[in-house]
Amino acid sequence: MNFPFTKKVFTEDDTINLAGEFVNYISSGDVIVLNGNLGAGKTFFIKHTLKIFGVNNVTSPTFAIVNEYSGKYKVFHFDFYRVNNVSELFDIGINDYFNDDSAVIFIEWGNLIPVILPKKRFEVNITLNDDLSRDFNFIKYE
Amino acid sequence: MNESKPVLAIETSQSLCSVCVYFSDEIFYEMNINLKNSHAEKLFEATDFVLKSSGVNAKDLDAIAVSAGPGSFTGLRIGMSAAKGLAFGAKLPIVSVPTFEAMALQIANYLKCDSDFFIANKVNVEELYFAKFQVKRNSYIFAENLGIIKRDEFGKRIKNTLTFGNVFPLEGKIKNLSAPNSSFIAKWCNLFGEKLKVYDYDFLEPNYLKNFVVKERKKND
Repeated sequence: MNFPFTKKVFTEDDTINLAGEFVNYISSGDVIVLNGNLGAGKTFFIKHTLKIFGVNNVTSPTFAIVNEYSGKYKVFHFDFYRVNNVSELFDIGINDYFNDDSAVIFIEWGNLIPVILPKKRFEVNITLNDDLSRDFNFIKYE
Repeated sequence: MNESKPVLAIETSQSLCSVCVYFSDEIFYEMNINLKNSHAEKLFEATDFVLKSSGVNAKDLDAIAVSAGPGSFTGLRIGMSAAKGLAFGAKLPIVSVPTFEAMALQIANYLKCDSDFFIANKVNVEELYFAKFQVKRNSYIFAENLGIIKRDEFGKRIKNTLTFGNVFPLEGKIKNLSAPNSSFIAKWCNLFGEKLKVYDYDFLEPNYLKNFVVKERKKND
């Protein structure tokens, strides 16, 4: 996978394979931001990425804002969909999460609060097309 | 400070959860637990332990000294709320102790007079809290005031200056000590805290230094 990397997927299995490929580039301390509309498959992609780390209890954190899992790495799984502004994130101590170098952090809807995102991060943009195929676009910011 | 009455000190600004019943430099009961994300669970257990083992009733304390930051957002909140709860129950004053200064007081014990050192801890992925101190006798003076600095900029500045903190990319150059022991929170309180005693602590807050001001950043910067 050379970043930026783009791929069109047609089936769930394609997405699972793509997650399996992407997982090789992730290690502790990484932040992965996922952008895409409702139903684009952000949670599904994370679920299958984390399966490879031995995490099997991934659910959408839309209501909890953040879920915490442990497998090969500690994982913080955020969802900014319900977050109104950046001060709400400071109120839950988001810097303490970001400062934890031993964890991998996934953020769904990161594009809603761009100011908080660290410079060094992966971005995965998912576009759902009319024919139900999906375009995955991976970008790495250093 | 009242010599005959001990101080209860709380330190939770980083991964260290430390509580101390402090009578003097010679006599104190201190408990340290170095475990991330455990403070909310362990702080009261530890407090109970030091109070019981020293045989001190909370009502007989002189004050509660709490490490006020800068440091971890959640850690400082836990320490401050615990201090307020204990102080309210036992009708005690709170002294909020500047964390970096208590740490400088601790470090100054081990360094030669006039030597300089930095303390630098993480704010977030890109920035650090930092201050520069100089050892004077067994105490310290500020060589540079507490502030916030970009990580890269700090990397260029430290050169051979002795540095303490939790900034791991600078490993090798930096001593892994990010918070003072609570006995030094208490000691700082004893030395400088008499005028800082607060009974009306409803609005007492940790010192986050940064008011978490939002900067506009260019898209995809």
